[in-house]
Amino acid sequence: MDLRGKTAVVTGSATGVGQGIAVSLAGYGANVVVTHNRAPASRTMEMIAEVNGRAVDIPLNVTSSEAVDKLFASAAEHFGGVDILVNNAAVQYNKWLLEYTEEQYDTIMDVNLMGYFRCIRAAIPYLKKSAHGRVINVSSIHAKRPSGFDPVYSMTKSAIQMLTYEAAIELAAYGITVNALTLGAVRIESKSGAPVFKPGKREFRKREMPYGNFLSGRWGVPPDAGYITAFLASEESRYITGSSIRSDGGIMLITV
Amino acid sequence: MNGKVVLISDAASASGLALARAYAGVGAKLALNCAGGEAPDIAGAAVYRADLTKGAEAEALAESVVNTFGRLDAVIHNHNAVDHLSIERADDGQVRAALQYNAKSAFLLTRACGDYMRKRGGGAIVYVSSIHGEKPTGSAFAYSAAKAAVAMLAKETAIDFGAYGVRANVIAVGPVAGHDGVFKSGLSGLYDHMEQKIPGKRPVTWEEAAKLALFLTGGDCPALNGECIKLDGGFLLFYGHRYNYEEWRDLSQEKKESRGGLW
Repeated sequence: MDLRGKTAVVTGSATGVGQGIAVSLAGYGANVVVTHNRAPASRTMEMIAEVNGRAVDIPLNVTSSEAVDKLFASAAEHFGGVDILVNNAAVQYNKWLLEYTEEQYDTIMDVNLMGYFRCIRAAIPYLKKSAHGRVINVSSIHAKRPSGFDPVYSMTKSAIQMLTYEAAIELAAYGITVNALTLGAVRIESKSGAPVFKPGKREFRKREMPYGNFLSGRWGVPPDAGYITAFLASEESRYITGSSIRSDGGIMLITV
Repeated sequence: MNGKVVLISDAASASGLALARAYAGVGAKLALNCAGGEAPDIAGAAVYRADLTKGAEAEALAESVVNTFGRLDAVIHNHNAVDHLSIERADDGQVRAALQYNAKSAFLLTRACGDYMRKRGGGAIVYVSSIHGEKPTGSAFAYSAAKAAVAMLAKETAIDFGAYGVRANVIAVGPVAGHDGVFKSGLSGLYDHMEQKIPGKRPVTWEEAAKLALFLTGGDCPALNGECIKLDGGFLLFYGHRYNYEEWRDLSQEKKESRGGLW
């Protein structure tokens, strides 16, 4: 896979899965626009430099249409265009259905679902100009099955699945492919070294999942998402659109 | 359902009318909500005007229904509004409104009524939704995204409230008469020859959806929880077949070879 000469915008790539994706794309030669909201993107920029990649980091809050539009204009100005959009920025509250406030519901919808929509809409003029426009929506196995730890998070992921299909239909005429990446449990370290993700409150969810719960023998790591995204961003994936690829180490078959 | 209290949302719609009649027909006590429009004229029904895209109004509605009837046994979420929107041209307000009407209302209604039913030890929630929670439209992306979210809401509700005897299921209604116009798309051929693609050659009716809702809220399916039942007459199974068996059998060999049996 060769992404040299292409420019990718990866939202929410200061940490975690987004970071893994940004570094992978840069490793395959893409110019990467790293966007970040709450966390600084310095570590991602270092990692990209380590693979001799080219990147720029720009703050972005995906709940503002104006900011999203500006981001794509800046990206195009910096690298001469945008060929690949990776929608990844998301929030998760880990609340029970009865604990969710209306404000939290509105916010998670505004970020996880509307944010993806805003970025696709803003990217369209640039992707149209690209010879191989690509949209990759990072989603979750909770698009298909409930989580039990965050009902509205799952609702947004399920909706993103459909947004992916609809965008694939609408953008096909411009040669743009749109696909989703449905991830399972990914091991993401916070600054303290503890997992950012807090498993649910039910007793049986409190224990550490043993390696045996993954057919692949381990938790997912951000680069797993990066490799698949690089493929979906490449010209070789040209016949895949409106599809979703599950990358969960097989956990969905035996554990959840 | 005789004597049971059923709350139906968007009762002013065609589906709301069919649901109200079906439940009235089996002796249920009806709480009909419609933010706008005319509620079906059903003797003894109480009519409410809550805007279910607002949390406080959803909470107040649940409270009013319980105060009026003393109980609440079943809730039918029945919000379906299709807005033709293009990702490229839609503005934030249009998308937000579509998501709020079709999905947020389901979440708020579930939270408000589900909590009451949970505390009381049982109840049933049915979402009268659409096959477009599974199949894209090519014309109304916010609607289909919202319906996918509702299908997931039912699953989450099932595992969250199931332990308290509350069940939540979805009816994914397929082509109803006129849907080939409602979902008309320049980008998808899904609704071309709509009726010909349904094995029974006729659209689904809201009365059929109401009958399934009766079954899902009644006592005959205690193990049915978190399920999405497609009620589309087999529409989504269509894969290009033009002929039924006898028509195909009687075709000349030449036609069989040249047409292949496909559209």
